[in-house]
Amino acid sequence: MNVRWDLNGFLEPLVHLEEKEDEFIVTADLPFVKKEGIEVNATQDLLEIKAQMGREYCFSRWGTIQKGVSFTSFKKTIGLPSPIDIEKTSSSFNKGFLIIHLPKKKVGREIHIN
Amino acid sequence: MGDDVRIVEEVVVELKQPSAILGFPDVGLVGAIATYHLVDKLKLKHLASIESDDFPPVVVVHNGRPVAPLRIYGRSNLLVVVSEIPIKSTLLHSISRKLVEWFKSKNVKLVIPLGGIPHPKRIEVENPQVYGISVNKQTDELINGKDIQKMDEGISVGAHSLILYECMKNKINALYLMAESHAKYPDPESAAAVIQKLNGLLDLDVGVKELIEKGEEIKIQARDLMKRTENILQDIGKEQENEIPMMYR
Repeated sequence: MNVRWDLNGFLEPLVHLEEKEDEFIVTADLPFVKKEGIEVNATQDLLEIKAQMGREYCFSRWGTIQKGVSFTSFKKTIGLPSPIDIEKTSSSFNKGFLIIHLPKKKVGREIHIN
Repeated sequence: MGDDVRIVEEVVVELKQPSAILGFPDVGLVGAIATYHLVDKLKLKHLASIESDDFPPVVVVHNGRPVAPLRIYGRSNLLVVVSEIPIKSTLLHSISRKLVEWFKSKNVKLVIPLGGIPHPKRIEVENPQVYGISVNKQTDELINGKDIQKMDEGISVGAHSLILYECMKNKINALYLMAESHAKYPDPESAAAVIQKLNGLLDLDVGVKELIEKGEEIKIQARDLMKRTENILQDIGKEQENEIPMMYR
């Protein structure tokens, strides 16, 4: 339900996975991140996003144990509902949003009608 | 369920036909971000709390003291209703009825809920358009010439929509302002867009520069509320707003 964080300075970004007919589109909101700080890795069924923030972010008044923790990066691993074609993946980064296109792996073949 | 909503007044202020602004957590948290900004910039006093035994068992700590998650701030001519929790569907009707009943008792002259309207290509939108749902000719007149596009046909879902309807039934002028926004990400720029329209409507002078400059900070702070709100929006059927109503002509 909630968006995770940990005492080592990782925040989980807000991420959404949208399923289209022939691809998955993953969108991640990455405040304080520049394109150079982003690392994306994919396997056929897993997507990992790591992003370094351009500055440390500290909640100076919020909470108890989290007060004073300096957050420096985002990290998120997403399980994909079906295998993707890794060679055809693409991504862009615009206004703090990372958008990753993950074409679905084509299985089977067309059946010709005689 | 939800019939015991109470408005507990904590500070007495002489109200002079105030306008009331609302911003419950909704699409892009536009209303929530905008109302927090208004309370902060206008240095409004905490006047009342909204309570119910059916609310989740949540208390918010501010400045070292516990407060209710739904609160009313204000001054003589302005009331601002804020919520730090999304409102679940079973409570929407009773909260809306209670709030409008209270507004009527306080002689509120105009009610303006602030919200977002999801834009599928929000990233490409430089200046979010603001739309309005108006309850009568007087409120139609208010938005004339203010670059607020009136919604003529469609479906509107959620607390703001019910409050608008209750206001109409109770003959209170009301106008629902909605800026194009991200659906599932906090959108401070859209909050700035509705505040700019509000400035023109209520003759306020609330700056939005800080809201834009601190946008990334706000987005980090609002992540959890956005996530919770997203689940509630799904529950109340917010996606119906994208459906074409049968009576459309």
